[in-house]
Amino acid sequence: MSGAAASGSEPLLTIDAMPSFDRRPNRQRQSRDPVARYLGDLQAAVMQIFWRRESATVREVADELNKKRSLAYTTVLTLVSRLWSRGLLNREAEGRGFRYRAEKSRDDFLTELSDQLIDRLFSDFGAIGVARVGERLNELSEQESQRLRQGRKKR
Amino acid sequence: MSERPTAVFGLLVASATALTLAVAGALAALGIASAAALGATIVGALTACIFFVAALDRVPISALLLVVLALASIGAFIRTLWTYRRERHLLTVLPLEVSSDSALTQVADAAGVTVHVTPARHPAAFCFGLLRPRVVVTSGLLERLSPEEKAAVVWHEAEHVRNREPLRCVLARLATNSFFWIPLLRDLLDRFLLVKEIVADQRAVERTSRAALAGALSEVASAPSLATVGAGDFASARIDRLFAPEAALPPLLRCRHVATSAIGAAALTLTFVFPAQLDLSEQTHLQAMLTSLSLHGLPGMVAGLALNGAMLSAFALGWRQISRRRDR
Repeated sequence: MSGAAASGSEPLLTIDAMPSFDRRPNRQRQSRDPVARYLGDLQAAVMQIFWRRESATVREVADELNKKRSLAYTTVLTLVSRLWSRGLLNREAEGRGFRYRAEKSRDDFLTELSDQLIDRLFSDFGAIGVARVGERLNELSEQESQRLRQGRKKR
Repeated sequence: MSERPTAVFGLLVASATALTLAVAGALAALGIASAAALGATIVGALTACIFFVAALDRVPISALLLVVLALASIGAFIRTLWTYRRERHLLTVLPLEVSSDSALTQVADAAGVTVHVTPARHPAAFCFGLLRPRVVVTSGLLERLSPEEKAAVVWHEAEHVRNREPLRCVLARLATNSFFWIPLLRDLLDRFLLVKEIVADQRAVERTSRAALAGALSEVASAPSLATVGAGDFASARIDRLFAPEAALPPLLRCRHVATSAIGAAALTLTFVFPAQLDLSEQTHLQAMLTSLSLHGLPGMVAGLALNGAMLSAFALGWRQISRRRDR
């Protein structure tokens, strides 16, 4: 699950890499920002910086973050490397450190996140408290799907 | 009667309540103290199963059966609640936005719901939330539907919201999973899931058109399925109903389930026919049996622990297999 391995066509962000999604503190779960609900306030703030600007070093991120709060350099380093190991950032060597870049835009990130959540909702859990339109429709035979498509054309 | 969701749901809940009362009544007849002692013994049996099996002839089999059933039901109940809790947490992470499509909002207002959009590509529409259900449609589905088809989806979901279907689903699944040893409840659950969809489909067709709903369903059904379980008669019954309102539903009961339920019911009846009274001497015997574990010395301890470990892992593996199949 390393960031280096995540550069191929594999999905970069996997919820399995974050098994604790159901053990979030209440405050985090009530956040208005969907990114913060998933990643937590601080990591979401870091991602926000990367989405605003092309690339940044850890030092630059720390400076930008510290306009509003005061975080130690090492804290920011931890945040950034966690996001990197999760495949949300990629990096290239620069001087003695690294320059980081967002792997994908905010919209792409949210799309992938909700796709994975929905897949997981309908596969792992069998959706206990969810009433959906497609309830078991994936069991349809080819013939019946054909029938539906024909019914659609007839207007 | 078996075609009205409320009736089927009511029957399901009534059966589960009756079963709960029966088990509770039998436990009460056994005596709280005896039941607790037996329960502790069965849990303790996991650590002393060798001695326990050896001493089985001292325990009335009907009482043992009753307590095993009750413990299993409580376990399954808690497990379902736990799964639901995880599902809720997953849903709170889901990015949701109130729909900004004005045509869609108009339909939603008419149907009395708020439509939320999530940016997933996967075509899906559902509602969740116990007291105030929320309707969610993925942007992937919206892209593929005409305005009338979107309206059909909204009306379909609005019917679920109106009936507080998520709450009913949770209760129905709690009932079914808790009394897994009466699989007839599972048949009732399947029937409930089917008729609630059929009723929502009917409502969507009344408000829009059959072609619109057919279009929406065919897009939803086109989603790559991760897991296909069941023979598909559920889905075909729904499609049959869409095009021919008189089409017959699949049979309510399955023979396999009837047979298993008969065994389960017989087990429960047994405890009423042969009410078991543990007298105090039996209880002290059980306790002595448990404490005797240490008296058997190191070999007994090691054997007990090894067997216990094997039993627990076999149980956990089997349980995972079963529950993976059952949860769907």
